[in-house]
Amino acid sequence: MAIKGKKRRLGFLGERRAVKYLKKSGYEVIERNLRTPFGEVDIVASKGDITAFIEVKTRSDDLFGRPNEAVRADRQKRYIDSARFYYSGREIDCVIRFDIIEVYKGGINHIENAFTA
Amino acid sequence: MLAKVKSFALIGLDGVPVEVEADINKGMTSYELVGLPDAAVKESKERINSAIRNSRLHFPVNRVTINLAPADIKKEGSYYDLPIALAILRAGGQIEGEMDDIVILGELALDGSVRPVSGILPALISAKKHGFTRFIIPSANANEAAYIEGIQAYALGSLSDAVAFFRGEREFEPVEPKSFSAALRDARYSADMSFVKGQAIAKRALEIAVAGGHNILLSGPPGSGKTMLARCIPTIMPDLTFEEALEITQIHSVAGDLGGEGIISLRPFRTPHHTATTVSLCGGGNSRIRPGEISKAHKGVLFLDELPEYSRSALESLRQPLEDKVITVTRAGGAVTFPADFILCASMNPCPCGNYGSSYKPCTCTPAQIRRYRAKISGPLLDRIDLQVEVDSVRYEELAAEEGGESSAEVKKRVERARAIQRERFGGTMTNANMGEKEIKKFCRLSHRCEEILRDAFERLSLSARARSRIIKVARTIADLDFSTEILPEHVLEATSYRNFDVKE
Repeated sequence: MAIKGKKRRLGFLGERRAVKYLKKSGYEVIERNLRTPFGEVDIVASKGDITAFIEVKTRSDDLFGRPNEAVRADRQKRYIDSARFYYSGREIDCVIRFDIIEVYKGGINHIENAFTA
Repeated sequence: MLAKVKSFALIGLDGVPVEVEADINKGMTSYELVGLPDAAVKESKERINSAIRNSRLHFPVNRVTINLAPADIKKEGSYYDLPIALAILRAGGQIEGEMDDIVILGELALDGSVRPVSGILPALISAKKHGFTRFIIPSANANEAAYIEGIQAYALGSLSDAVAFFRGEREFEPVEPKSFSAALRDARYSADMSFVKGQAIAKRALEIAVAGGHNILLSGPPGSGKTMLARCIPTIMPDLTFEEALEITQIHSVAGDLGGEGIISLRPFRTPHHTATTVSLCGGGNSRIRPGEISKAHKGVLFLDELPEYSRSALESLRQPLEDKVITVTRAGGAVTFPADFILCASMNPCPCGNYGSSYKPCTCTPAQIRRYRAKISGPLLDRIDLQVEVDSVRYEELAAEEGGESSAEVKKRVERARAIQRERFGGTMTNANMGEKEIKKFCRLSHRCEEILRDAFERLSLSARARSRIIKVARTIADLDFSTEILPEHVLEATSYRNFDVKE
């Protein structure tokens, strides 16, 4: 994957840290950078009967607010639509959850069920 | 998992059972609330979410669907917070046990405590009619449940209390029943007839008005004591029966102005300001129809101070409820009937300056001014006011007199006797004021002498035609107060004297 520019590099590093964290917490990462007609989903991971669609937010500082504040309604809709697309034609046999993982200098913050459909 | 919990919806004063269904299932995490909820019910989501978390319980991360059945009745107000929260917990397996026979009502605060809601009493009464005997209600509404026999109402203060109740972790005692007679004994009016100095004629007129259920108009200069006299009317009305008290309390419970009181044991005395609108008097509201002042005055007194100052449309709206003793309020959300059986007491100045007819001060109004002032009150409304009394200023000697005259309790005894006679006559709660032409013919036979007096009064005082039946009804009441089966000439004469307004027109 070609990484261009400082911002994309930062995002890539953040996602890598998030995946590491998820694996450590017992999640199985199913998809990374899942592309759907509605946009991209950073990570799809599952644990037990939960499948989480995870948006990773990486910030080098808090200048523009906390990372989780950057996921607004349009982004939420993208995730919800993408999840519907991902499961289209299949029976949903799990609980689909939407999470946000904040990656910042000091560590990682996992917000479970950050928004709902 | 699916869970069902019982609750109640109110339409006017009538309750309809509502089933709160919660389904927790796989799928995308979401919270769906269906079943025609209004804004307050929709907002319950945030309250319930916080209340559950802050009660150290778990709000399920799942697809949560709530249904309020039947789906065709609009669900209003905040009754459903507690039942929805309990249904969610039950569906999530956090509480167990049967919840089928218990009706749950209550609003939740963010910290998980249960807030009081309006309309608990009518909800309990109609739920009892539907066969429910066990209830969970907010602790602040406990008093409202204390006067209903044969139910067990658990007044709980928080969501965790409710959870403990269903888990059987603690013993809860139902609300202790209270006796109405004790409430009645403790109730005291602040006014009393003995506080009113002088005004013998007006006092007598009040007694007649209450004895026969007649409406009354007090006209007199400012400061002559009209308001004080009006305040005495509830004090000489017969004590409330338990059924009447329940009826009143239901209305005030729906209106949300009960303020923790369990049952209203004093007759209401409502004084809407003269800027009152038709809706505030008669009742209304967009989807949730609330009773107006005339219903809040049910079984009591509606006092309209400065009658000509009220808007024409507000006054005209009183005509139909004055006849029917109920008001039917129709809105987009449906039609609701509230009882509105009250004594109307109106007061006014005789003219714009207020001194017309006074024996102490001169009137400075022109005849045209006086006519215009009086024309503000329509004939049809005046027609429904049987007694029109002039109240003059009181002389200083009367004011200084130590003795205040009879107390309300003494007058009440006479009123109660007169009411007893009427109960026997009509075999019900009807009063003389409600008599139609048929009853007048049957119960108010006039002797030849009486007819003569009436005819004479008609010609000399140029009374209107409609004044005749009014006079006869009032004469009937005066005769009842006098223990006379016949209407005697003196009764007719006295009754004629209470038609001041007709005479001056």
